[in-house]
Amino acid sequence: MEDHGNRKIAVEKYFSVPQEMDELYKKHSVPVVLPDAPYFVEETQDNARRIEEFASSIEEKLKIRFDAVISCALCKSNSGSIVITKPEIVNGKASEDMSEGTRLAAYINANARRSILINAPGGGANKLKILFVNDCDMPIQVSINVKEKGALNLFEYYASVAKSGSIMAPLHEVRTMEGSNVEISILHNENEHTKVVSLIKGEALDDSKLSMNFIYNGAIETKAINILSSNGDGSRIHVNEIVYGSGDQKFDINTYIANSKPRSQALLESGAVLDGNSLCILKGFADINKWTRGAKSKITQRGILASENAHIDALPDMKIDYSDEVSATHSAATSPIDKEALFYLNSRGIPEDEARKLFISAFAMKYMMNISEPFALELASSIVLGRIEGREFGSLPELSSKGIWMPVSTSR
Amino acid sequence: MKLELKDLRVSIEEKEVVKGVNLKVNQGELHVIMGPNGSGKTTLAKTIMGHPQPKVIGGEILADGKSILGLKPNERAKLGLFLEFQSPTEIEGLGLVSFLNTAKGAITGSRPSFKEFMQEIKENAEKLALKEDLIGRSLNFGFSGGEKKKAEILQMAVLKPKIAILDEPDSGLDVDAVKIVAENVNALMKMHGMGAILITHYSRIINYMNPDVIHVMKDGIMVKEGGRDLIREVEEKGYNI
Repeated sequence: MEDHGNRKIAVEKYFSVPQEMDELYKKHSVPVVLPDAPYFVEETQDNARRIEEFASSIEEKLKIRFDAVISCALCKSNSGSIVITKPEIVNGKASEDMSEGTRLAAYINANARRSILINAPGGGANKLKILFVNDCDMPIQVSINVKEKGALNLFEYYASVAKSGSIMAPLHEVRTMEGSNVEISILHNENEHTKVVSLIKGEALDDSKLSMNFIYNGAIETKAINILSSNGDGSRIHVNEIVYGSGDQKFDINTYIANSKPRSQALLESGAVLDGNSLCILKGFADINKWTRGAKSKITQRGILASENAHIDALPDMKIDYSDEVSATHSAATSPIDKEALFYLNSRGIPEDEARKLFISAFAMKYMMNISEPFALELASSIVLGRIEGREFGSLPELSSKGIWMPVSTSR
Repeated sequence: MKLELKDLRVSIEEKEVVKGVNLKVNQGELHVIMGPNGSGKTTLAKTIMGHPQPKVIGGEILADGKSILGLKPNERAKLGLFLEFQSPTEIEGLGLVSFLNTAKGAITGSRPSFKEFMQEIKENAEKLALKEDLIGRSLNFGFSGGEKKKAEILQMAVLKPKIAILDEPDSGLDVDAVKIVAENVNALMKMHGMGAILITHYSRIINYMNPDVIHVMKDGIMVKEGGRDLIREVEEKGYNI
């Protein structure tokens, strides 16, 4: 048995965050209706071949090779660092009286057919790319464990072949041991038949760094609950979220960051561009615990409304239990596209429609610039720029980095 | 290009700000507009460039004899007009080079090759004593006041307008920077025959330049015009002339 996998999970309060009980948070929520029993495709050769062909077509188009392909019909790993197992035992069953996060976690743990274990050994750099293909309801466990002084750069790309309503539901547990450096970039590009329920629980131990980049782009509805804690002295957590919504897409992104030890950092930057009739709820909660001298916590939420019918609710919040040499700030701002900025771009010869796209892509780019893995950055940029050009979510554009001359740095 | 304002009247939120301005500027000429705060200079500059807020309530703006009042700002830029902003907009995430390349492509109809374009930008940045690392940054984002002004002149040098409207290019600049900006504007006028309308409060920048006409604007109208003597008169008496 792997040391970090196949564990029994106590369901009670497993995935609850304090803000769930807040009336404001309850009011601003996209409810998730879970099926009584998930629908799974059969693991037949035909279905597996279909996923194999789909994965190959993506690899060919992107000119890369994924280290693992994960779906219901096909699960394969080409890397010794990625182990695919069946979950052994999971306690509990989702019920209505549970908190939302715990209910969703219970659903995933009770129904997961696969457990993905990602190990990054210490003392070396590891780069991994995983393709998740949503071919039916997909509750799945992903456990990531980075050893002491280890380094991991993980890119997860989520696509969909589902032709009728299905739920892509990954539950991640991430643990970064002492002195490790981890960056995880998760790009959702599922189609309109897919809903996403994404749960992430992560902790960074002493002097380790955990950077999470989320690109919420695909799926008709997304519910995300991210619980990330700086649990070690000098540990750093940096969460970077960008949402691009259009049509009738709905996003409910709930991110909880915590400082639990001295000199720890927990930063959350969220940006959302909403077009059409789309809706995004950004909930950011920072929790600074006792005895955290020198801790730093920051939440920044920014939104752009690209149409009159789009809607963003930005809800930044903090709980500070210690006030000695602690830095804590939060802010939120949402606005339509800045007319003065548009005039500036127009005055340089750039037509209004192109100026508008340039402004939106610049906004998105400042979040995506945090992705350090070049391929992940290129793909994420291409997909979001494609959306800005009017491409539907769920499709895969040509990589367009040659057309993007990005700023080298966004700060002084 | 010949830019002509004929009895131009402009209002902002129902208040008349520009009250009948006449001005003729040919390529290669330098016209200076001085005037106290609130006299309508910046509104005039924005109106020429087609800002959506000021409303033209009378008169005409002509380029080579044709009205440009119906043209959008980008169409005016394509004709050869350029506005150097008093407070340039910061756009984080939009690379300066990317932006300029897009602008150049929009104005000329084709985007230049990356290598040649970068070379042109670097050469102009050097002339402006603009730090090279600014080129790799987001448009005006985190630039100091002086860097923003110089970056505006850099854009002008790359886009090569026929007539530029410079809205206080000297404000917030130190003595050396004022001289550098003036010299670069002079060079563009000499090399490309650019005409310019320079809006300023101070004579300092004009000392490095050769204006054809000095105009004094007050309460929405041009109250006086003349040569360098007029600058001395303003310095001595203020705008009560």
